[in-house]
Amino acid sequence: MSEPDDVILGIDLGTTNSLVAWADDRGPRIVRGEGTDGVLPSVIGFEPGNGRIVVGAEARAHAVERPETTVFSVKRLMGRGLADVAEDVPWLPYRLVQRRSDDGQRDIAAVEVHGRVYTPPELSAMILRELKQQAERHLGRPVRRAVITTPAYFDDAQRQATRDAGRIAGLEVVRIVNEPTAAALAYGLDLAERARIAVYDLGGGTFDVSILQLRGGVFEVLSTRGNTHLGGDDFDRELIKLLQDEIRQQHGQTIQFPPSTQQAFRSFAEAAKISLSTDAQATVEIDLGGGRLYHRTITREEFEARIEPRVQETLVCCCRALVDAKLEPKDLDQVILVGGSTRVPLVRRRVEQLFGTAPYTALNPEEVVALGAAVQASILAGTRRDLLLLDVTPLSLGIETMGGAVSKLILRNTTIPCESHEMFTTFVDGQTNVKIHVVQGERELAADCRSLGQFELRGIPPMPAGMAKIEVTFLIDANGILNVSAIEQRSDTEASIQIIPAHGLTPNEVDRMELASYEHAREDMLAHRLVDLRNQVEFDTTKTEQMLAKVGNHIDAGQRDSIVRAMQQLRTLAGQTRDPERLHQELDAFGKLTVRLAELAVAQTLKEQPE
Amino acid sequence: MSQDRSDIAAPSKCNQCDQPLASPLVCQHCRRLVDIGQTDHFALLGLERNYDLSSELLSEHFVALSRQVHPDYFSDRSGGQQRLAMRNSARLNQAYRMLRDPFTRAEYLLELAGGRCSAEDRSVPANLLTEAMQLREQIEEAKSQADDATLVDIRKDLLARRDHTDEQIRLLARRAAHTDVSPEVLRDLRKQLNAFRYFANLLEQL
Repeated sequence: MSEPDDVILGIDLGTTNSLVAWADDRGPRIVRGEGTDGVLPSVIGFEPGNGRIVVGAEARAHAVERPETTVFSVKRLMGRGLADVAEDVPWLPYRLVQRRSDDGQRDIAAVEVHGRVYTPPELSAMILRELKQQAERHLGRPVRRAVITTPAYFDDAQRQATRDAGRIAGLEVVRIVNEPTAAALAYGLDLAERARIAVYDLGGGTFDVSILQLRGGVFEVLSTRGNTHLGGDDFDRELIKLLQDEIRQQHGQTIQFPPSTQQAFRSFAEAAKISLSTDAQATVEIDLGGGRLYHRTITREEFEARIEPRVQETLVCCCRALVDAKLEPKDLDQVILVGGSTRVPLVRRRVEQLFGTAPYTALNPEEVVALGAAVQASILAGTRRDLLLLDVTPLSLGIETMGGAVSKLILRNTTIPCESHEMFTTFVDGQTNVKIHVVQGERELAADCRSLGQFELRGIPPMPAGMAKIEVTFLIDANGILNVSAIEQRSDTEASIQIIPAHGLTPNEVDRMELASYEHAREDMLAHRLVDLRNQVEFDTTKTEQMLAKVGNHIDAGQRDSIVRAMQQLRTLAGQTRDPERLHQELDAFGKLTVRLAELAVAQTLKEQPE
Repeated sequence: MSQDRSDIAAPSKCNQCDQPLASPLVCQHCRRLVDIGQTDHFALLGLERNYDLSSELLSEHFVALSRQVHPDYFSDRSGGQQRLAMRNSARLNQAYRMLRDPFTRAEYLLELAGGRCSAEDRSVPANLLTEAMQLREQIEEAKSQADDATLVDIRKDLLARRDHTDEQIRLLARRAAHTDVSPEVLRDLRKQLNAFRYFANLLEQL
């Protein structure tokens, strides 16, 4: 059970940026580090040589010079196999690999840096750990629980991957909340007591739209639609394509763009996109090597023409969500904009046209999701009882039947938690196992849906074919994550279930990674400490040299020699050792040895500068 | 096989504080969740078994009960109560989903009265199959010739037929809600519900 003052964090784990918030009785607030706005770029940098891992702005600053070892947009890889992210591969300068599990059953898209393979949950955990530390520094106490948001349209595997990331980072994920609904919660009671609203959420890599009905503090989601592969990243890519097509026309189709140039394109495209939100045009200048400089001015009209098809895709989602909710645009009282990409003027115009009302943007669209997660955290902590979120599952859940067809058990837009019971039996005399293939999606054939994995019921007592009556319960919990349980009714035995997720990690793997990440965090800390100590050694020895030159003749020769010897030894040790404790001890000892010298030096300085 | 489920009964008093229960899901007095077995969706929502149901009242009951059983409010309780909150909440959501839509509400009343489900009995009112086939041909012909005027007419015709079926369903479902309903009424209700699906599918084709 929790301590009364045990804070639960609200975390927005974004494709491009992440934020952490917390709430007390005065409401939710973003955690802002010293002198920062609290926005942590979701970028991980692996430094060459020392193996140090940096997260955030520092990592992003080195993206162009270290394209292969700077990892970003990890969210696009969560809960996916390598084949699923094929279209992203040309856009990601780091090395994507397929990680096969020990049993060979599952494949996970993973990233290889400096010869080590990192799964997306491990990489996301590095971002989460940084946010956790930010919050702990701010609050001045340890934190161990969090609410983390995901796109509403994330499927089971993507949600599980997010929860795994939390665990690897040493956080208990008490709830996965959908981003658009979190945003609505952040607005909370500022919205009308009774209203129907749409939340249009266009982030760095994902798009969601949710239609909600609000009544007396209860936020009931009526429908949700989205695309987990559509966001601001894609706008950048449109700009990059525009530039590169032109360069190819000017310099020949065979021109190559090395990873660092690719990364430069990315940075410039993102900067141009952002400035085009306020300016009519933006200028891009890229060094193509060999003295060739590409210079181009992009107008807002050009940019808008390029991204219009992607914006239209989001509008189609909005219309479908309305149909699912059995509503028309005029039935809505308000439209809320969420996500950095809604700053693009074209997006605002099109949304306004579709819904026939000016979007409501009282809160910062980049902060509203984290704030909402903190509100949900305070509901779960028991400190808020005025609000309640009733969300839905975005995709239908089904099982594969004979001939590869899908039998749907839970339809999309069903309020969660929800459950479905299904009876299974055996086909062969004495059969003790039954395999169930669970899928998620709207298509009729299992092969066209997303496989959640094979569930194997074991320990069915042997009996003639067709006699066993196994009732399987499929429960989608408030996180939108599937839980399966089974009972053989004739013998009343609970059948054990082994789940083999298609693109996920097993609990054992998550445990291992959690331990490894602690280990890594320790190594990281040691490396950091070593760097600090070496700097200190450099500073102290240089200072000592100066003091020896100045007042060295005031101490006896034996003492002087021992200081010089100790100084050399300390420098050698600093260059060789990997043990910060030892270096620290030696540095301390050296400090004591030079106390007398330092006193003389200070006295001398005072004598030289009277008054 | 379907069976008469009119005998499904829910506990009427809280076994902890002995206060009467407005819904079998939870005791409003001591906030204890009740572990229910199979319970009629109407009773679950604290409503009389009836086809005519104000959507306002239904959603009011749903929201009020959600505030009492939702797992979000039980995260500080024992594992058992947490699991029960999850299950009772799932049951409440299912009951609300089923009763919110008049069509599924009628289907549910038929099921409660021991009527057959659509998989067991696909019969429809006389002449409907022939009419539906003719309509389908007309739709295809009008579509191939891009004859929008005819399509609008067909749509009007279909809407009228659907509304008529809807009216039949209402009359029959009201009777099905009573305990002394005759088997003929249940058979007729089955046919009208099947017919409603036909029209809805044809309208979707337009």
